Amino acid sequence: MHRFIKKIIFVISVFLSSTFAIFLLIAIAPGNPYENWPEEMLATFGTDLSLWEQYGRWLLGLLTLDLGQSLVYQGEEVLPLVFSWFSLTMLIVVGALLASLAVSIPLSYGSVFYPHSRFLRLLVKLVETLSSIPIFILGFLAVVFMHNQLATNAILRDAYSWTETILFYLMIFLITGIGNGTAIEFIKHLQNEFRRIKGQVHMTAVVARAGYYRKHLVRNAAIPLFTIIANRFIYLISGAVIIEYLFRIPGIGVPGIRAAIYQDYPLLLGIAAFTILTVLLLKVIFESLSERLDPHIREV
Amino acid sequence: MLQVYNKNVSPLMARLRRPGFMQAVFGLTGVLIFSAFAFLSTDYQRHVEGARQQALNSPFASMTQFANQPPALEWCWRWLAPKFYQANTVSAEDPFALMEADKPYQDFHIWGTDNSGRDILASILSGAAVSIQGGLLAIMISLAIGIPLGILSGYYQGRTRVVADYLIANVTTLPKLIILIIVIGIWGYDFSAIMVTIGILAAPKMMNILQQRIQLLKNNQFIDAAKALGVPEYQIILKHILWYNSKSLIFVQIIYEFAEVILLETTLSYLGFGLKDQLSWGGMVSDGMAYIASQQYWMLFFPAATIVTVIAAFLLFADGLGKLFNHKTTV
Repeated sequence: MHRFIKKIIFVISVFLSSTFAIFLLIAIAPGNPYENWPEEMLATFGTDLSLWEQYGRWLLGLLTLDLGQSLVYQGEEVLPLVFSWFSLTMLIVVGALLASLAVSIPLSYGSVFYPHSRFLRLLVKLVETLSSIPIFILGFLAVVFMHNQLATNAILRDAYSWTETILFYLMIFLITGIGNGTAIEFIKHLQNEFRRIKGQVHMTAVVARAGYYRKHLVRNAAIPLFTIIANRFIYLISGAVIIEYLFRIPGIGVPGIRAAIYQDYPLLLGIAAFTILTVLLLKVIFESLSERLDPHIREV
Repeated sequence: MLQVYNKNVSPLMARLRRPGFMQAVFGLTGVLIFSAFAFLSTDYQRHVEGARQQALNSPFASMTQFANQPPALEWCWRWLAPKFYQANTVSAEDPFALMEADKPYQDFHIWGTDNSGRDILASILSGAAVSIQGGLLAIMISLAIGIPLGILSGYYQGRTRVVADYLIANVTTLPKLIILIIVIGIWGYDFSAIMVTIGILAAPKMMNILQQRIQLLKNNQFIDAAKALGVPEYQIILKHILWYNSKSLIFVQIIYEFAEVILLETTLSYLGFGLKDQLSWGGMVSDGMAYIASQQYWMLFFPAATIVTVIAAFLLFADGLGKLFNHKTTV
């Protein structure tokens, strides 16, 4: 319980300091940061108030689920907009995470237990090479490769079948998962863990007794993987933003970039708040899961 | 000192066979070529401009203002696939046939030009100069913040450690790209401000690595011996811990950070946040993507290949160095 309360305090303190830093940046920005703003928005955002009062007003709005109105999206409420976009972004993030695991677990298992297989070594090298290619180039190569079957902007049109839609999202998940280095990070970690666990005494006993040790191996190797997953969310969200811009998927990517170009601070703050809070909560959840499952940490 | 147990292997071969050596050599070659790009960019631009001025005086002057394919590609079509070349050229009776057959204006554009007639190789070279400047600034900031805080929190535990851990946890949970987009939205695209922000976001990683290293080293016997001999504490930290035992780690981390800075800068310019008065690599890729349908793929291929090769070279160099410094010096 004590540990859980510490984590909640950590989440709140990091969230408050990060969002306050954004208000501080606005306050110290050179020139007039509200140059193109209409009068009514200036009053709502509290530009005539001090920095602390302005931040306090925004926090109160967050607690009452009112983040103001967007400048770019013609006065629409920020919270429902960001919520709808963020759900699609999180779909891409979770899909990319699952795709990375689907690629990394068999490859790392195969490379440790069949070390002489050239095919598996080649596959691992291929994933490593693809990880060093920037995600927007990887995405574009995928578009060019699949151009005859899938169009970049056609995903939302009814003319495309469910199969094509599923194939398209599968491609997106793989590009996001492999392109930002998540898959290769999982592979390196799992390879080290499998090698370490394979040489332990209790695994020899399991093999001697039953001859089937995969579930013990994967379960033991997966426990520290939760901490790595917790740290990879920031990269997955950044990757999702780029992919959304490339394929014009209605997530937070394109609206976030438009908000930055037109200095729509309420929308930027809304996107920042959602992103930071989600990353923090996911990090806490996955680290707690790791602590719960690892008996060494649980006893402490 | 390298100890060679196998007497049939010469010391040189023993060095070449060390894990990570060849990787580091290939990576270093790529890094040096990239650095040469940046230094030669101004000279090459002058050369191209001089040749272009001569071409503007020729009868084919108007053709220099539009996208031209690399000469090597045209030679390929002419000599390797003549049927394809003939099928795609206009007939001899056409008044523009002579222009298509012989294009002296484009011979100096080795990698072709873009839709505004700008030489692609010259643009890539100037983009390299921008990347190096930005990378150096970001790394200086991350070293200036990361090293002192890493030393203080690693050597002196207690409150300093608590504050450093809080800062590390705070910054490492922020998605870098989104924070950079927010900073650009508030401050506009100020190149120095962006690089300083990247440096600040990279500092906690440096801090964390140094912290762990110092914790590992500070309880060693050589530190106790130095203290017993009366060596001042600052000398123990700077000389024995930092310089003799941590500089390789810091150097490898600098190489990784350089690759990350190049990646972030190209991504931001791809998203439309590049320098206004200069083409950057990401911006060239973004522009080139629009011309794929008209088969002017050289406008995308060369910038994209350069980005991939440079980042791969930096990562290869860093990985090779990491293996080299971690591996024991016996064969």
